[in-house]
Amino acid sequence: MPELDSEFISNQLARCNRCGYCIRTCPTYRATGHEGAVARSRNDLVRAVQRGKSELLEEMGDRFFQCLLCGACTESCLTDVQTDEIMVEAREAYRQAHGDSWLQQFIFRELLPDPERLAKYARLVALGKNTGISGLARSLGLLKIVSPKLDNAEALVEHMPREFFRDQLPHLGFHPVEDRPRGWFRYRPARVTGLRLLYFVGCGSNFQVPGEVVAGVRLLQAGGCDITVAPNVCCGLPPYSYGDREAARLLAAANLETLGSADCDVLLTECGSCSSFLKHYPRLLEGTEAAEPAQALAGKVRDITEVLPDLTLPEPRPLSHRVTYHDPCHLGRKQKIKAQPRDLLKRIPGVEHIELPEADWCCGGAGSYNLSNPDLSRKVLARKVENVRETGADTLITSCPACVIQLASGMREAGLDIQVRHLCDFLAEAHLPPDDAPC
Amino acid sequence: MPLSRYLVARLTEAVGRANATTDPLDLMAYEYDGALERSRPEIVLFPTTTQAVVDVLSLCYEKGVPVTPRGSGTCLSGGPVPLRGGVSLVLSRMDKLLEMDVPNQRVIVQPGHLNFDLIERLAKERHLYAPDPASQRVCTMGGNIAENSGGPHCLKYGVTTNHVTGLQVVLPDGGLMTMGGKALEAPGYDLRGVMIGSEGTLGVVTEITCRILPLPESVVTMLAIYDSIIKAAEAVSGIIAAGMIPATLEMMDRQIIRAVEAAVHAGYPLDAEAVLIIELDGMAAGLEDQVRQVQEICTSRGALRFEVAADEAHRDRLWRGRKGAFGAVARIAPNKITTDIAVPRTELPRVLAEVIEIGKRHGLDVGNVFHAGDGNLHPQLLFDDRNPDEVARVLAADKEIAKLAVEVGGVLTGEHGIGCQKAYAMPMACAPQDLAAMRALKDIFDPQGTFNPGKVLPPPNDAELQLHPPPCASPLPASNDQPVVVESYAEAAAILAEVTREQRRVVPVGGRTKVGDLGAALPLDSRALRSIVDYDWENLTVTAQAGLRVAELQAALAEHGQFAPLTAPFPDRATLGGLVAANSNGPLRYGYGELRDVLLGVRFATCGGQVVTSGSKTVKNVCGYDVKRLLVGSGGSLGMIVEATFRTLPLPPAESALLLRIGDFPTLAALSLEVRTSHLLPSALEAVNPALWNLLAARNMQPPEPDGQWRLLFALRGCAADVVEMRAGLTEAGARFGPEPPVLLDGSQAAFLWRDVAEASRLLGGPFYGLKAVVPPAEVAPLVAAASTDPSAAIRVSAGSGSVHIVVPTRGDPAALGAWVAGLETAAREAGGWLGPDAPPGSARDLLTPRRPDCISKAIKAAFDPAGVLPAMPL
Ligand SMILES: Cc1cc2nc3c(=O)[nH]c(=O)nc-3n(C[C@H](O)[C@H](O)[C@H](O)COP(=O)(O)OP(=O)(O)OC[C@H]3O[C@@H](n4cnc5c(N)ncnc54)[C@H](O)[C@@H]3O)c2cc1C
Ligand code: SF4
Ligand code: SF4
Repeated sequence: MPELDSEFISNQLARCNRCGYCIRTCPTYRATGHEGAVARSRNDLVRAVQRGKSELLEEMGDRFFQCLLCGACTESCLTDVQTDEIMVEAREAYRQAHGDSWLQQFIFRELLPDPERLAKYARLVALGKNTGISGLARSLGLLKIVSPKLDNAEALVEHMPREFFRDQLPHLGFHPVEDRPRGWFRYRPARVTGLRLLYFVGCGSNFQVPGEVVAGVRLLQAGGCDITVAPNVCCGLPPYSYGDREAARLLAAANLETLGSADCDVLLTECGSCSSFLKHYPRLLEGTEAAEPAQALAGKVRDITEVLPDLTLPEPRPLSHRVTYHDPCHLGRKQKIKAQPRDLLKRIPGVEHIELPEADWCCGGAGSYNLSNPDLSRKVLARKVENVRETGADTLITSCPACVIQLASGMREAGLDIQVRHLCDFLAEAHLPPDDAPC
Repeated sequence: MPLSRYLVARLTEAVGRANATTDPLDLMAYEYDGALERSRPEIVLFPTTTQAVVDVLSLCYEKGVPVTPRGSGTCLSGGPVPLRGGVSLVLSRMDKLLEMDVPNQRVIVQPGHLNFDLIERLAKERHLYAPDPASQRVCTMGGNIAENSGGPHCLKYGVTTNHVTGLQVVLPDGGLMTMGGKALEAPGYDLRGVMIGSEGTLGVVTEITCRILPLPESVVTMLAIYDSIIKAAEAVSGIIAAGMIPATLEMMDRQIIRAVEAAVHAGYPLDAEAVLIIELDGMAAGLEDQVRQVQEICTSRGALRFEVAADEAHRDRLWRGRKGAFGAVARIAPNKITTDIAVPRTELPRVLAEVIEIGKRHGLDVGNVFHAGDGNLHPQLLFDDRNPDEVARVLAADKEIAKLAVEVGGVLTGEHGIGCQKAYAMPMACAPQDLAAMRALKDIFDPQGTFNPGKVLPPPNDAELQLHPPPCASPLPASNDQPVVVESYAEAAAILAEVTREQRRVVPVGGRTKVGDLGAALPLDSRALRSIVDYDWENLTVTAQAGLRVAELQAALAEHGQFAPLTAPFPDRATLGGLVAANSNGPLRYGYGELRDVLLGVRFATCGGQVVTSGSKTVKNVCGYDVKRLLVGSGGSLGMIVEATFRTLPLPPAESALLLRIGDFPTLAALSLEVRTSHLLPSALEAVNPALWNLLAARNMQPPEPDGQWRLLFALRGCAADVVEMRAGLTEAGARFGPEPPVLLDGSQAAFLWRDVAEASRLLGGPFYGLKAVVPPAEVAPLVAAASTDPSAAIRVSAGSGSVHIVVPTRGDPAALGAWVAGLETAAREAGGWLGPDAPPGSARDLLTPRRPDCISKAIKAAFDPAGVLPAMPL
């Protein structure tokens, strides 16, 4: 297990002095009251292996994969132990010791690096949703990558869209870029008053919530931006979370090559997880020759919530809503973007924003976590739902496709009549003329 | 011996399948706490109901299986580590807030409720729960009970035991027991006091009733930086000498300052040797002036810098260094042991210097963050646990620091507990007879020794095993007519041993203000034991012999501008020992706490012929079982108290009293409720019924004109501005409840009135019955109504605390009296409290329904008084 020998791991584990301060905010602990589900014990387990006190047992897999990688523990940890990063390395060691499933290999190594093939499979899934073909096919939906425990998959994606985001580019005024291969599109406004930006199309964005992405793009267009879309591949977060850093590096390298060649000020996405992971590239590629370009690229990455406040958008029309906002882990915690989305909401007349208790607690979606750990995910979600209910809001807003899907399923299961919407979608309704609003 | 499959199945059944596990990885997760000791349980159970706890404990007791309770596992002394395997009983799933009772200022929680969840919830009601351990965001209330946890606020507000009024406990054999309730006091021995701080070795706490306080109106944070620890310590003493008790007094020494500066750039100057954070809280009116005083004191002691937080952001900035301290230390070395000792505050500079020396001797970096107000010190011993040699040196240094604490009159642990890590040091800190007394308690609660085994007490050593009762020096008088005047502690012990051998009844007496008919017992008079043993006014403690009169003590303290918040009727006669034995509480209990809160230590002579010490000069102390709690209100039934240590306080700079006439009791109760839950902080709220008022007025003023009105008397004590503000606030509040403005009493009028109020029996003149009821403070009205059916009853209600004192002349018709008392008993019970005899107990006791002692109290009585020579247990 070479990974567990890294100096990083050794130092990190040494610093966990079992104080238990992570108990307060670790969602899996608070959902279960079980020490085995808190950062302290996860670290203790890895330490036992790392210091040779225990074998890396097959049963340990569940423990490592039960962590949401939400990073909340690090925030309450006085010594700044990064349990999420420790878990990634532990998962890697675990995979090496106990192997991958063919399905995961197939997805990470074959599908994710090839957008066209990926789209084909995703279509199959979309079709499957309607015709009821086998569970396996359905399982190939993008958020449903990692786990063979698939019984919860269906409830999560309420309706797979028929048209993915990339399919809609021509209707949005985008044109193929001439001197580029297939997959490059560009939208030029009559007058550039906003930014020149490169739009990163995340997998969840493209396949699962294309309507929301369209809304985001329309806002950018209204703000006078010059927008280029490149044939980027998956950002690499899913394999990374799964402990396949190698696969993540391959995807990152592919993206660096594609995106690095574009001439733009800003690399933008409306998926909080993608923006966060793109900013993480330098660390991912540390020590490789791609480190430097990764640094350059990461410097340009912005989440859409960082950009919108500075664009000149049409005056918002009044909407009558009581809203509350959920901070996606990758946006709120990992990128410290908390104020901007709230400010954007508060600009809309008639919208009353109620602060959500524990707004930055993980919703339990955590990429494909809801599929790999359905029970735990549901318990974590239950706490979130309860907090949302307490606010009395009619609309719950967030800014990450995975969260939108998880939260929507939570509201549905709890029988709550609360709309879950992506921030862009909501802003578009306010700032854009009604007929222009996305369907 | 591994658990049988059968037992695993039964235990699983008791808690439900989803709440039990024997998965090896789960077991691994329950083998540690926040300290270094490790040991794996054989099964982990997560009970969700009290019944499940009862079932598990009964089963385990029957089979002799060890059980170790656990909350969040943040203990720093190995408390929740199952040293002998068996069951790890995890309370994290019993985490509900069961009741929020703002009018009575009580909440009831399950043990797994996190301290900070309670704080957050209470903030919505503008209240707080005072004990604030640094780990409060993650530790459970059950763990807090077990460790008698405290935090920065403890100098002013006290520790867990001062804020818990009731517990529900499952005993190691599965028996369910209620100790106390919502009322401030409970009859009989203070078992709740013994449970608190017992480190989870006497039973499982399944419900906790605690006291809550209104949020202070205002908080001011200040920071002072010094180039010497001595100067900083002088500033602390200066602040306290000036009559202020800050809510927080946190100090960091040079090593920590360096680390903090490197990590968070708090902006401390490079020559800083001590950073002091001071927080005052209370009524806004008085704070301004106090802040000025603090500033003067701090700068006159040579502060390099002094800052007062102007707003919330500034406040955060001042705290930033302190809050970042632990993280900063982690940059120096990955691991640390947070040592925990408490010493008299006056010893702090010396102890700090020595601690650094100890560190140097072992080649270790030591930094100190400490609660300067209460002398609780946490030297941080830094190391890397990958280096075994360093680990050994750290453990050695830890031991030396513990020894140092004991040498300077401090205690082994202020808040982290003995657990298994400091058990070895107990014989160093406690005399053999003290340990024997603790062991007796443990044996009563847990006769098999299977409940959380291996904690707190080490196996008995030779000194403890060889304890023998000493012979009596001179023969005892044959008749009981003349008391034996006890001249020394040893003599008291020898006499008790002798009468135990002879099976001759004795009764310890002091000023005899509370003892009625002695019956056929030999009086042991404490009044020759009347010296002050140690008055450490800077440390705010005094230790005095039991025969000293309360008034004498107060006079001695007044010379240093202090007082002890003890109020006894007849202070010229009442002795300290009697006060403790009778658990005498006066009106000022509302502002200053119960007698049990003021009492820090006790020495008492036992029937085994020993002089046992319990407690110390420190406010924080979790060094073994809190035996002294049993003596409070013991009525001499467990031994003879020979010495007591109390907290002292600076005399308030300003003092006055307000008297308000209010037509009827319900209106009065409504006003009291409003005042109790407001920001106003009177030291006493005492209600007086028309009958008592007539007696008072007859003595102090003109002949009374019976007006059938109640009176409410407020004691206002504090700094001048606070007193003015309280007067205004109470006048304003009073106006909303009645037409008459309050009367301001001058000093001597007030003094007389306070005294007479407490001595109602004397005013009556003739023979009387004295009764006392204690109920939750908002539930007094029905009881008062029941008492008022006899118009001759003189009633005094401590409206802040819910205690009701009734004196009624002895009259002809016993049947009517009996019916009246029965009515009171019912009313008290229905209000969630109880009715008992007040001083002197003799005759009134016969009117009351006898209460049956619980098995634990009976066993305690039998252990301390095996021949039954001492007075009966008060019930
Ligand atoms: C960084 C850090 C800082 C700390 N700071 C402070 C501080 O400032 N002040 C302070 O007082 N303490 C402090 N502590 C110590 C610790 O947090 C407290 O002792 C706390 O009360 C323990 O609570 P817990 O829920 O973690 O209990 P646990 O650690 O789980 O258990 C503690 C003890 O309580 C017993 N126990 C738990 N629940 C029950 C129950 N329901 N019935 C009976 N027994 C039970 C256990 O058997 C054990 O002996 C600190 C700890 C850490 C790690
Ligand atoms: S991860 Fe951090 S907070 Fe949690 S136990 Fe370890 S050191 Fe403490
Ligand atoms: S990353 Fe999240 S789920 Fe994982 S240990 Fe930390 S707080 Fe818990």
